[in-house]
Amino acid sequence: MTDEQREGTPVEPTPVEETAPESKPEVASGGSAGVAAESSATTPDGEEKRGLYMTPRGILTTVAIVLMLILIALLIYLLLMDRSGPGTRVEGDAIAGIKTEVVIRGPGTGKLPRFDGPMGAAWSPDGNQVYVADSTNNRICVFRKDGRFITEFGTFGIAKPLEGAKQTWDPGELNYPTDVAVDTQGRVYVADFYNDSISVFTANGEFLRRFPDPYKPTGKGSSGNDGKGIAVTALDVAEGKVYATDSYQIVVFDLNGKLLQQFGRPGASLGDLDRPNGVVADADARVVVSDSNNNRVVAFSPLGRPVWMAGKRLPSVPQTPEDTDFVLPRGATIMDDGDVLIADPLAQRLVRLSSEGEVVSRYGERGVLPSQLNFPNDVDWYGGRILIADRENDRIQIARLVGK
Amino acid sequence: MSRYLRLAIVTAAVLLVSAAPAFAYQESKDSTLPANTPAYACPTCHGLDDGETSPTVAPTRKGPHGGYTSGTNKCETCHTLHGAASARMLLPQQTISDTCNTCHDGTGGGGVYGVIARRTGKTAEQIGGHAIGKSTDGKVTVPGGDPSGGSLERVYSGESGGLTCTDCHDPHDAKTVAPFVGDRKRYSNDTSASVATNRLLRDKPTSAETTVAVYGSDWCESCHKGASRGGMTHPVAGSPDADYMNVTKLAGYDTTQVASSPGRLGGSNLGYVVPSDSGKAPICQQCHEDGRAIANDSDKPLSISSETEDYYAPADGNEDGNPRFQNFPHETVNDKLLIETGDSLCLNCHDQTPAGAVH
Repeated sequence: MTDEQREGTPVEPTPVEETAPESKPEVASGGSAGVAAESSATTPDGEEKRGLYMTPRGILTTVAIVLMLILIALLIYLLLMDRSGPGTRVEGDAIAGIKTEVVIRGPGTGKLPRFDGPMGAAWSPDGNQVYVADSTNNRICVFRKDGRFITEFGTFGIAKPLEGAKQTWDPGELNYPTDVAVDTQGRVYVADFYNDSISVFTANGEFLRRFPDPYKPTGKGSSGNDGKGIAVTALDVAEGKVYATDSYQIVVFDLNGKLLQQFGRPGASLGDLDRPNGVVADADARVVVSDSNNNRVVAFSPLGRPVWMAGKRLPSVPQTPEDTDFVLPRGATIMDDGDVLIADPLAQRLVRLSSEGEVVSRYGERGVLPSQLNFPNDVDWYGGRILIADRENDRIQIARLVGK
Repeated sequence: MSRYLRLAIVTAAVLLVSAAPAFAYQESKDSTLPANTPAYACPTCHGLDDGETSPTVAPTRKGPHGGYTSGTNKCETCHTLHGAASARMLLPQQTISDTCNTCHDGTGGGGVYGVIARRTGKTAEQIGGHAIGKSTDGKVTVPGGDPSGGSLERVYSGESGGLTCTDCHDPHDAKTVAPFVGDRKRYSNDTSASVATNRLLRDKPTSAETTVAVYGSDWCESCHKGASRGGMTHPVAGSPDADYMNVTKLAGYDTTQVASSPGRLGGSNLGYVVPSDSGKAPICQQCHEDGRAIANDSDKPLSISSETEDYYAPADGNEDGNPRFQNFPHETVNDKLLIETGDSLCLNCHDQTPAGAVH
């Protein structure tokens, strides 16, 4: 390979008159196209072998080299395309209304450098930090808003063992954390799904308490294992209250874990809930719930009465995501203008509702590129930027929405 | 040939392999979009199954499991043409079971894998049941798989010949069994006593030779062919003896106070496990199910106490033993997927009174 080729100077595959083997080589100058270049080499036994570079064989070799370089560049691109490191700032146009600015794939260090199916994400109160429920890895990871890793806390612990198994839970341990929220004091609330309770941590990850008691029924009844504790999949903290989902109800606590209210019942009628996987309180203390298995979003008054409902319900069978508002609504957040943003993992999109439950717009499409989604499970909004728990892409995206 | 050429060819080969999912649609030279294809109707190319004259529509199915019509592109919920993680079926995950677990992880309720691991700390290899992907030398040993009652080795369609979800379930709800009237009551949208679901069970699971109409003993015997014939296993009642509408069942939950009576299996748990019913073989599900107690009998040892008590809140006054998850027949902490372990199970039928002394 010539120096010119090493530097990437183009060599045009122009046919060149073949020169006799004994002729003196004419060195290409400046790599200009169409100039013949001769190469020579000396074998170990001293015999010198010569050949013109731009013989048909040389042309073939040149083409092969160029092709190889292109393929290598393509290979490098493919390798890097969806494997950007933790906290990678990305450029590019919006895709289907989502313009991602930062992609976070995990701490990038330690035993578990990558996320595994993150299901929840939340901003800190000042919008400077990002908290991620790294569900399968049983931990919470904390990042700066530019994606730089700060810390992580939580490890696997069983609070509700089957008979014959050991209770291994120690304070601060988690078992499939499905959501995370942060209060105005920076305390971190974690939906500890298989431990049937909410664990509370300081901003630095020191364990403070858990509630409700996973070994007792909650209030007038709850659906953790044995009917004790809550099967919490999602939570929100607002105005001094913690709103949490249970299998068929919403349970409201104060910040210390005192039970304040619970509403909902199993079923499909208005006011009933079936495996809600998203909850958020708006500025009027209305509680917006992703009634996931009923394919709808319902807003409840502060007293727990249904106010509005978005989404069609069976028996009108949804044929395509275009035929229905929601396929499987999950994580929810309130935007600055009061609109509600819902993550719908089975529709592979985000749905924006007005504060009265009308569909305003839809964002997102399926894919693995930045700004695309693969089973988005949760969203959180702060000052024009959204966190997207892009679950099956094993990443968090920090993005802006384009258009309304 | 220069080494550069060889390197280029190798690189190109690597690229083609890595990009295989994206090119999957064009795998075959014959795979071309038909002329005048309405934009993007999946059934245009992925047509009807053998014997079907119209796409299967299951109006009771939510989400991706059914409701397909000739113009649907609902397939995109789980399949994708471009950027699929798995070339197999263009799924978003590497394996079929991983794809299913995206939703069936417990947060959506229903049948799941992984609950027992989450509550015991055991690995999948340590947990019994119909384990996904577990095989030996590319085969699975099926207890009672031989018609004579012995075990038999089978090859299933999961990784390395092991089981995967689609060996038993059809996620599209095509060619599935009818809802099982004998099924045990579980939590669902339907809070009435009757819960009708076919669990998306194939009417002809992998390795079956004939189709079955409903999920019951006959369905289990699709693989466990020797079950109804005794041999190494307890005889069970298959068709036509398995009358799910007329089984012997408890008349109430307190087995120390109530008697048995004939009635409909399913809707409650009173038919699981039955009291003495001399001379009549049970169906498979009366002994093999989620481990639990069957009654408010404090003397009866519970096999999995934390999985057996009320699902509903005590305020509901519901004492049907409705579990939070359906683990059966996916996984179990009991031997052989039995409801109870030890003599307690046998004594439900083989009691020690003269009338109940079957043996």
